[in-house]
Formats: sequence, structure tokens, C-alpha cells
Amino acid sequence: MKNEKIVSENFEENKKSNVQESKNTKKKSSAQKAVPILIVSIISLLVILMCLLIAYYQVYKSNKQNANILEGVYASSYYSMVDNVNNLAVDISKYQTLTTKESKINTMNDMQTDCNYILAGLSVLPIERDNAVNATKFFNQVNGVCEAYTAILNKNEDLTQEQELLFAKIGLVLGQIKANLNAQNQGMYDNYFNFIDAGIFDKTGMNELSASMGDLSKDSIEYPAMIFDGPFSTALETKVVKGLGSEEISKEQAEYYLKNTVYSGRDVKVNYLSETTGTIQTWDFSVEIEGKRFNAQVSKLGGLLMSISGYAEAGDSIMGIENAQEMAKTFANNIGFENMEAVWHEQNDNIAYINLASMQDGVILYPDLVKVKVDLTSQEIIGFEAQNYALNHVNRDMEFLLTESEVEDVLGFDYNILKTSKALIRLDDGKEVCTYEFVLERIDGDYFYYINANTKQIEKVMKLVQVKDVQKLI
Amino acid sequence: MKKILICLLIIFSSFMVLTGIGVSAKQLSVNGKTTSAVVDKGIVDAVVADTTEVQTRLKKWGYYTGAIDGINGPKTIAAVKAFQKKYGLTADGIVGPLTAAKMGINLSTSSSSSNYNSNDRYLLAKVIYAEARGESYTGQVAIGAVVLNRVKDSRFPNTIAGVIYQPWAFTAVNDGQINLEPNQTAYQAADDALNGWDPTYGCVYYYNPATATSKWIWSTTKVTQIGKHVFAV
Repeated sequence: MKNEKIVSENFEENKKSNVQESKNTKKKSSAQKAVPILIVSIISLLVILMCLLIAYYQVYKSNKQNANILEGVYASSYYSMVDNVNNLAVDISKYQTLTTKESKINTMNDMQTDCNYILAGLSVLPIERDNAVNATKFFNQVNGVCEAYTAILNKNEDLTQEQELLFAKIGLVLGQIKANLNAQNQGMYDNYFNFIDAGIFDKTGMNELSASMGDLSKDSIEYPAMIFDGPFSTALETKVVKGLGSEEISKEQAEYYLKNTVYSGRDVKVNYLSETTGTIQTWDFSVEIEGKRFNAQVSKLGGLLMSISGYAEAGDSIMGIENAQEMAKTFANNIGFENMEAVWHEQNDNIAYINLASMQDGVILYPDLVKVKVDLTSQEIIGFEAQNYALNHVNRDMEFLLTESEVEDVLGFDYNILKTSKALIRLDDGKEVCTYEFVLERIDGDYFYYINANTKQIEKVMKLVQVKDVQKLI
Repeated sequence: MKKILICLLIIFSSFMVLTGIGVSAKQLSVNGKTTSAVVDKGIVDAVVADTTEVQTRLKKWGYYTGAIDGINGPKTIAAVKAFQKKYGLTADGIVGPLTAAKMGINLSTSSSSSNYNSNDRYLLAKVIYAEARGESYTGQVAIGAVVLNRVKDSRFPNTIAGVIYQPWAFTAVNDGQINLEPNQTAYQAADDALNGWDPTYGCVYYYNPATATSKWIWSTTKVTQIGKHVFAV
């Protein structure tokens, strides 16, 4: 019995020892297995770290390269601008000593080149908004003065004393800008100024440059309005509405006009949106017609449709352009734009833009243009625009002293006349002139010539060019 | 050791993929344009088909049912393949010269210099899409009109590109959204603006009063509000 007990104890001990041994072996074996995994993990982490470092370096390098390129763009724009401000100041001084028309024209051409370089620099450099606006305006207007004066001298006319004095005033303002810029330029040399490091991205680093430009106050120079009625004109900010009469209509009348005149006989929902208080004051509505939505504006003065804005999906053109022109004319006539003729169209896939001009005694009044947008798929009018008509439409006194055949010889040679018309056009300086419109076919394409019917001067030449699928007059 | 090598190989491959090294350059889609190389009589030109134009035509003919968004995605490629099959062309989904010719699209080469106006249209559509894609159609036309009003205004640069890329003039340029490919609506809104539509009647500024942070906007005069944008002079 005792022996049995001893055997049993030994057996138990052996069993325990075996289990312990087996556990130890297992532990040893898992420890042995864990070593390579640990090594792989450490190496993997190191590789990932290395990859991240390489990636970071690449991003850093790329950012640095981009910053250098940007620095180059800013630096070249800045130095070119400073050089040309100095050139412009010299050219203005030179101009004031000149006596012949030819030398004045040449110098003003140089001044325009200077201005264009300065303006290119200004549009690139990160100058604070208000200052950039003032500076851009100043140089645009100097450019405009040169253009207008060159045109006067080219017509063999003289500049008045007042006009000549304008350059002296411009020279004074320019002298101040030049002094500021040159002082700042010197500061850049002294301090090894760098555009990027100066913190231009948070708009703080360019304060000095901005301040140099900020010395141009809005009303530092008074420009004669007659010169600046053109594209870069202050007069553009104060346009006068001539074509709408003086009677003001109410919001309700505008809504009635839309329902009963513009969309007469159609199932239409009209909702008032807001009013626009710009150059042309309008009542604005949303219009829903047969599931389609448009926005429409009716002028407060005169109660005429000023615009419809609508979008059409692409589709097959079912309607021809001639039918679209007829539809546009009828529509315009029905809503109060009488005696209009289709003078141009532009087709972009299934969308046609029809230009309608007002006619007076057989003369095309190009300044009084109305545009109609037609969806050639649904055969619907989806857009309308009459801003030019509203601004310009009046009854004109027009004079055509010369006949068509008397002015034709200025057209040169090698052409076929496709069409001629009497046309009133508006020049860049805002003046309206009576012209003969000649549509010519030349060996390299079709041209539109506008010859002054009183002076025989070529006022405008436009060429018909194909831009993608669209024909444009440029 | 084998395992270690495999691990390293996987990590290295992932790194290469992540950093973009070794990407196949057979077909790239850049800014919504499908680009392919054409070799003709020894002259190599980058030939570009406008994806928007491709989508528009394919949609018109019933091959494409997706949105006209300028993105050369799987739907567009499938539609191009279907078109190619129908006309007995190699169905590779790439709009090369043969496919383009069948579609009636003129492929413009990178050396083309006569597209002055189409650049204006493209730039204007880009800024409209980036700044106002969530707005109504009129709201989109209005953004285009503001850009064009600035071009005419002496206080701003004299070109469309100059106005759009003037530093800090447009948020979409600062945050890079200008590089999104415009959709058909933005192109049509650009066409309207270029044709003279201006629902703002001469405004040169606009802002969203809910998010605007610049102080100067409060010195402008409000003319109208279209959607979320206030238009001002």
C-alpha cells in the first residue's frame, strides 16, 4: 500500500515535471519564433520611417522648388514694373519737350508699352487690394490718355493746352510713385528682401510695396470726361439709361407684363424674387413654364423685359437658324422691341444666340442691340438680354454725306463685296459714327469693314474667324 | 530571411505606389481632358479631346447616360467603347484621332494658337464652376458677368486671365478649386456672360454675407442678391 502510494507520488511528480518541461519548451520555442518577427517589425518600422523621411524630403524639395519658381515670377514682375515706372517717368518728361506730332506719337506709343508692362506686373504681384485697385486704375488711365491723344494726333489735329497740361499733372503723381518704389527697391537691396520669405502668403510682407501704390488717391487727377467715355472709363461707372423713358412701373405691373405679354397664352407661374438697384433698376422674378425654370428681370422704368436667364440641355437641333431668327424677331416685337432686324447669330451646338439691332430709316443701330437665346431642340426662347437697348436706344439725327461708292476705294483691292448696309456704330471712345458696313470676301476669309460715311475714315475692321465650331467676329 | 525580404518588398512597393513613382503613362486624364500621343510622319503632338465635348456628343446620341461633368470616368470610357464598337473602331475607350473624327470633333494640338476666345470661355467656365456651382443658373451667369465687368473696369487687369488670377481676387484660385473641370452648365453660363448677359448690371464685386471675412466688402454698395451671393459696386 505504501509502495503504491510512493509510485503514485512519483508518477504525479513526473507528470508535473513533464508538464513544466513541456511549458518551458513551448516558451522557449515561442521566444525563438518571436525573435525574427521582432526583427521584421523593427526593420519594417525603420523602413516606414525611412520612407516617410524620403516622402517628407520630396515634398519639402518640391515646395522649395515651387517657392523658387514663384519667387522668380514675383521678382521678374517687380523689377520689370519698377524699370517701366522709371521709363514712363522719363518718357513723360521727354514728351513735354517735344514739338512735332510724329515724335509725340512715337513717345506716347512708348508710354503705352511702359504702362502695359507695369499693368502686367501689377496683376501678378500680391499687392493689397485697395492699393492695387488705385494703381491699376492710374496706369490704365495713363494708357487711355496716350491712346486717345495718339488718335487725335493721327487725325492731324492738335491737342489743346489743357490736354497737354494733363501730362504735367500725370508726371507729378508718377514722380511720387517712382520715388516710393525706388526707395523700397533700395531697401530690398539693403535687406536682401525675398518675396516668399517676407510672408506674402499672409498678406503682411508686401505692406511697403502696397503702400507705394497706395499713394494714388482716387481723385488725384481729373480726366476730361470726353476722352474717357470708352472702355476704361470712369464714365462707365455712371452710365445713363436713355432708352427706357421716365414712367416707373410697380412690381405688380411687371408681374402682369410677364404673364400677359411675355408669356401670353402660356401656362406660367411667376414669383417675385427681389429687385436690382444697379445702372438699370429691375424687378426680378422666377418664371416656371412647362416644368422649366427661368429668371426674368423687368425694368422699373418703362416696364420692358431686360433679361431672361435660362439653361438648356444638349440635344439635336430640330429648328434651323433662319426660323430661330424669325422667332426671335417676333418675340421681341410682341414684348415692346419694335422694328428690330437680325444682324448676327452664333450657334453653339443646339443653342443659338441671335443679335437683333434696332433699325431707323434703313440704318442698323448697332449700339441698340438685343440678344435672344434660342434652344434649337425644344424650339423655345430660353434667354433674352436688352441692356444695350435700355442704355442707348433713342431716335438719332444721322447724316450720311458721302455715298457708298464714294467711300468704297478705301477698301483696297482683291475683294468681293458680299453685302453693304448703312450702320451706326459706337467707337471705343464712346462716340457714335455713321458708317457704311461692307461685308467682304478676301482670299484669307471674310471681313466686316466700317467706313465713316462723312470722313471716309476706316473706323473698324473685324474678321470672321472660326473658333472651334463657332464663328466669331474679332 | 525569406519573410523579411517579402515584408521589405511589400513595403517598398507600397511606397512606390503611394509616391506615384512608376505609374503607367499610357493614358492620363488631366483636368478632364483625355490625352494620348499620336505619331504621324515622325511628328509627335499632344492631342487633346475635350471630355465635356465627348460626353455631350455621346449623350446626344444615346451612348452616355451620366452627367456632363468633364470627368473621364468609367461611364464615359464605356460609352466611348460602345461608340467605337458600333463604328468598327478599336474599342479601347480612348478618343484618338479616328474616334474623334467619327464623332465630328476637331482635336486641338498643343501648338494651336487660334483659340483665343475658347481660352476665355474655358477660363470663365472654370471660375464660374469653382465659385458658384451650387448656385442657380442666373447666379452662375452673374459670376461670369462680374469677371467681364472687371475686365472693362480701369481698376482691374485688362484680360480675363489677369482678372481671374489676380492675387487674392477669387477664393477658388487660392484654394485650388479653380482647377476643377467645369460642367456643361458652367460653359453655357460663360457663353451667356460673353454674349452680354449681366443680371447684376455692372457689378464688380460679390460676396457671401454669411462667410465673408474681409472688412472692405462692407464699403461696397449692394446692387442685388442672387442666391447666396450679394453683388455690389
